[in-house]
Amino acid sequence: MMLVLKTLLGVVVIAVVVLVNTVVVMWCERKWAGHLQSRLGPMRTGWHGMLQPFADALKMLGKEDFTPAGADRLLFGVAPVLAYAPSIFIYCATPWMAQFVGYSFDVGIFMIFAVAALFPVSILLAGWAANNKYALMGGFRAAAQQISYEVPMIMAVLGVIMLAGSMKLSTIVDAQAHVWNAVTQPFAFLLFFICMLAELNRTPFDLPEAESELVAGYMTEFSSMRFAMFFLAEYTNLFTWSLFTSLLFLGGWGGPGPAFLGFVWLLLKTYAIVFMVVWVRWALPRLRVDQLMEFGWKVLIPAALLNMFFTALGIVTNVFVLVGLQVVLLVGFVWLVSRIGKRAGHGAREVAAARASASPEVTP
Amino acid sequence: MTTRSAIAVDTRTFEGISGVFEVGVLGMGDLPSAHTMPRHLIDVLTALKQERGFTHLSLLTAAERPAETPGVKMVYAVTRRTDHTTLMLSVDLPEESLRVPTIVALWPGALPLEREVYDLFGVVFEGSPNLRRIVLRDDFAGHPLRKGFVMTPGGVDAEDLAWALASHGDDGPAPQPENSDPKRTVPLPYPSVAEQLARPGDPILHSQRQLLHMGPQHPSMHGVLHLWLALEGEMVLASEVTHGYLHRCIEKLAETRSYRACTALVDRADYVSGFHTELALLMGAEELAQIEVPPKAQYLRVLMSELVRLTSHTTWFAACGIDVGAFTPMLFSFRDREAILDFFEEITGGRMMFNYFRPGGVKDDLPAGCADRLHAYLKTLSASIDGYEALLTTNEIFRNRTCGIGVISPQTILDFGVTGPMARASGVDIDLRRDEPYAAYADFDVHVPLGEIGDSFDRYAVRIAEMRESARLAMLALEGMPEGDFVTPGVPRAIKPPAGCAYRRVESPRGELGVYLESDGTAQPWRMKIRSPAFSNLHVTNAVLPGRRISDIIAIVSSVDVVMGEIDR
Amino acid sequence: MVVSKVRVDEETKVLIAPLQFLMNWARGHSMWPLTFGTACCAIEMMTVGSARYDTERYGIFFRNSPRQADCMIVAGTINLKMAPRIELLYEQMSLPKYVIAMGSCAVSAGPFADGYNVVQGVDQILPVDIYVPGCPPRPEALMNALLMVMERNSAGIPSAAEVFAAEQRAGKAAL
Repeated sequence: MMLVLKTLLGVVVIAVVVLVNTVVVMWCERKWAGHLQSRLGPMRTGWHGMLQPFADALKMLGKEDFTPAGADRLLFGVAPVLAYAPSIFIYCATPWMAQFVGYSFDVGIFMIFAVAALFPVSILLAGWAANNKYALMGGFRAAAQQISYEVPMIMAVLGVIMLAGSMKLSTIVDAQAHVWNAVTQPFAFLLFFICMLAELNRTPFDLPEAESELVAGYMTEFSSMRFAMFFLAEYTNLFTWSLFTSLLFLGGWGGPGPAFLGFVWLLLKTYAIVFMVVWVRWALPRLRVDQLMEFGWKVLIPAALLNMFFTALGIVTNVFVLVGLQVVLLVGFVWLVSRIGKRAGHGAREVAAARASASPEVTP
Repeated sequence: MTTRSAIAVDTRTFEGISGVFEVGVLGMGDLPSAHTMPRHLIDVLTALKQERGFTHLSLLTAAERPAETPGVKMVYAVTRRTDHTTLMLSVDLPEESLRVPTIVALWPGALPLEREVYDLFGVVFEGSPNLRRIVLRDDFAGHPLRKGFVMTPGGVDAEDLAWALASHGDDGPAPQPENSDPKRTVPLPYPSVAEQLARPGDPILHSQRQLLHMGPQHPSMHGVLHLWLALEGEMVLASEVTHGYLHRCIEKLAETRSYRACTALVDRADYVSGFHTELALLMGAEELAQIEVPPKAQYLRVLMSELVRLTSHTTWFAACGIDVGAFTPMLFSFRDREAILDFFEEITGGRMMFNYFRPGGVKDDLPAGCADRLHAYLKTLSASIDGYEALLTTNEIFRNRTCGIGVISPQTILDFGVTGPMARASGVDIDLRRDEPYAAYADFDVHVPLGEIGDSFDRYAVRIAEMRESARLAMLALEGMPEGDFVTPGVPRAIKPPAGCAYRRVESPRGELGVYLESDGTAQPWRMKIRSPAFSNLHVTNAVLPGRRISDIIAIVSSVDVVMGEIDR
Repeated sequence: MVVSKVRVDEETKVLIAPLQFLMNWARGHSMWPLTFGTACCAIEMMTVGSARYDTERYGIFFRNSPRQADCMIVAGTINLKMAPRIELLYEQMSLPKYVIAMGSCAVSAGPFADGYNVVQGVDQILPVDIYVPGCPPRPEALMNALLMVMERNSAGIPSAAEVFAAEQRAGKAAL
């Protein structure tokens, strides 16, 4: 009986914490996006628009629920639930602090990736069920993209697992008590961050949604609460993956001060990552499908393999070799990526030509 | 002006071409013109194009003939780029036989222009590979630009509307038009959507080809553009531009308005750069009515044209960013757009619809102190443009999305009549501001930025360079502003030019914008036709899109800088 | 004629009745117009989202898919080719939905009223909530119209679509 009560209490507490954070992430995205674009973002709904996500969600609840003619009614109903359920389910294995964890699996990371892999399935279902060409294309893009980027993502995490010698998240965090994985594994951190953007369908990898190409991608035909579930799932996932990044690379709840401050440290680090994601989203354009796949398979996966190999080398020698090899990888990666741009981009020729002939005499 | 020398060219150019009659018949003022018969048309145009070097088809339109000789007159204008000579050629078609051979074999870009004439005048182009309506609904009855088609005051009534709502009025891609003779038909200059759809998909992948309607409501179709796409997966096999969702009868309505009232109409044709259409129209009207324009007004016209080019290009930049998935560039460029619109509001009273140019000059002088503030603002613009470039130009993703995408060769540019930044990006060195100086452009040294490859990135880079150049020219216009009248005194409100024709062109942000005017001596034009640059620029995408992916469509269409109001009119 | 297809979901209404106040508040603070412009007015519609006017301050956020949008801003001239498409788009939007007729053309065909191809205002096709005169209206005017729709929602005033549907049920359809 006590066990059932405890479990229920835990579920409620975790669900509330996650929901509150989802809403805060939504608000942060809109405010930060606004300020990055010399605007203000939401201002009138609550203090600085704090209540804006609630107003949006409530309004969507009250809208007409709609299934298009010709849609697969069963899948059309299941897809949004299947999108949102795993994003909450994932928290049963996520530690918030040393003592605050749903269920501490020995293979916590394994469990998390397994559950997270359900998300593209829901998008594929959504795209298929809606009987809309744009939605279908969005669904297929999502499936291809997320399967391709999960591979380098898991391989990037393997380096971290090798360093900690465990797949248990709390052990990985404890292993970073002195120095963060982001310092010893900067390249793995970068890889993980890039793959995370792809998993989250965020710019520059927001192809499944691709507003200017596919209208609203896989969500095109969804209205009301069904759409709200996709929307919520998207932001819950953003929070979730940022949380994992801080657990895996930024030392989790470790930080100065008493132990109960750990939760605050964790959230601070998480929101720092959220900020990075928002920043990237509002600064960059979007890749094309084939470029995205090429980048995933021809650049990220070999790089992730090299990362594993070099990490193993570092573990059998010493920490200086480990960090040194990571820096070598980082530099090599940046050089390679800029080469890709050059190959397609012909350097700076056109701008130079156009500018020379325009000869601006305008000097402020 | 070039009046004398051009007439000297006149007789020489047509010499030795059989089938040309009545040289100078159109009464075009300084433009050499001639007359021919439908059966000689192809020979004359072939000779002009291949022997005399008139490679650019500038205008293809029609006009009603006077009531005493019922029928339609086809009007063609061709340009020789080497010495910037333009010739007008007219073909009279009697009412009982409105048929003329198609010139698609000579200029593929004539196809949509001929479709427009078919749509609005009912002229049948023999041998055309795709002769169907282009701006009106497929099931529309009648040809509205004929004088016999009388508009009911109060426009469309409830009965017509009920009929329109009952169906989409769109037959979709069809393989062959009904009224074509398969033996004499010229092949379509690009892959046909219907044919591509009829073929089976990839046998190994068991894929199915599908028809995708992109638009008219689509976030990156710049209003109401509509593309039919034959797709296999994400690959485009054929595409066909469909438009007409913004056909607002501007050319027909102009026939019921005075020349001065027409400026208000044409403002709304190219709604992001209204000054250019106003200017082309008034240059034609002033030539017909022999009205002089004082130098100060000419400078003010240059100033306004360059400022509106800036606002047009900032709007394009916003759309360009959004189309490749970056939203922030829009917010940057709209700050400058707003700043310039504030000046417009101060000078003309309107943010977008100016109605500022008048026959004989402009409506009003610059307000006190405006010139200094405008000059100070323009000085800061270069730094703002650096800010735009920081967002996109050197971005790896943007380069990957645009470099090598949608390459248009100089030959295709000529074939399809593409002009403006799109042509310059392909290395075709044309700019009417420099080649045929109008207003006060002869006083300015206009630098023309050119691209090398002709891909989407070149079109982007050329427009960015043009923004800097426009800011420079606007500042020069402010600095060199002469004293004097801003409008010729004594020009009446309703001018009544003597009977005749005029064809005047300006360099709009999208390219060669021309207005063909025909006067019958009354206060209203007999025919007004806007030669829309975006129309030709848009139709070249039919030839460019096949073989690309869906994402590239957006990158290419956005680099065309589409303004639907001007395309549909 | 066509608007007869519009139906107010009675079940939805009953379910949310106790929460009406909360729902009105939400609808008064969140409004997602459809990204859809036909003509000149669309440029001014873009402008309201720009940094100077920033409608997102009020919770106005442009959405591309009609399924998720609350409000259709008819920004421009509607002609006979476009009319069936406009109607289709309106039907694709989920209730509650609002229509703003932006600019002279959408109000009454504006300068093109005599044209052979131009519909005499969008209210010939759809029930319109707010008319915004001007050619084109200033961005402030459009913002005001959007805020008016939101204020009416806060006060619980039914939308034009609902009024029309009710009138039709009562047998005195307007169109």
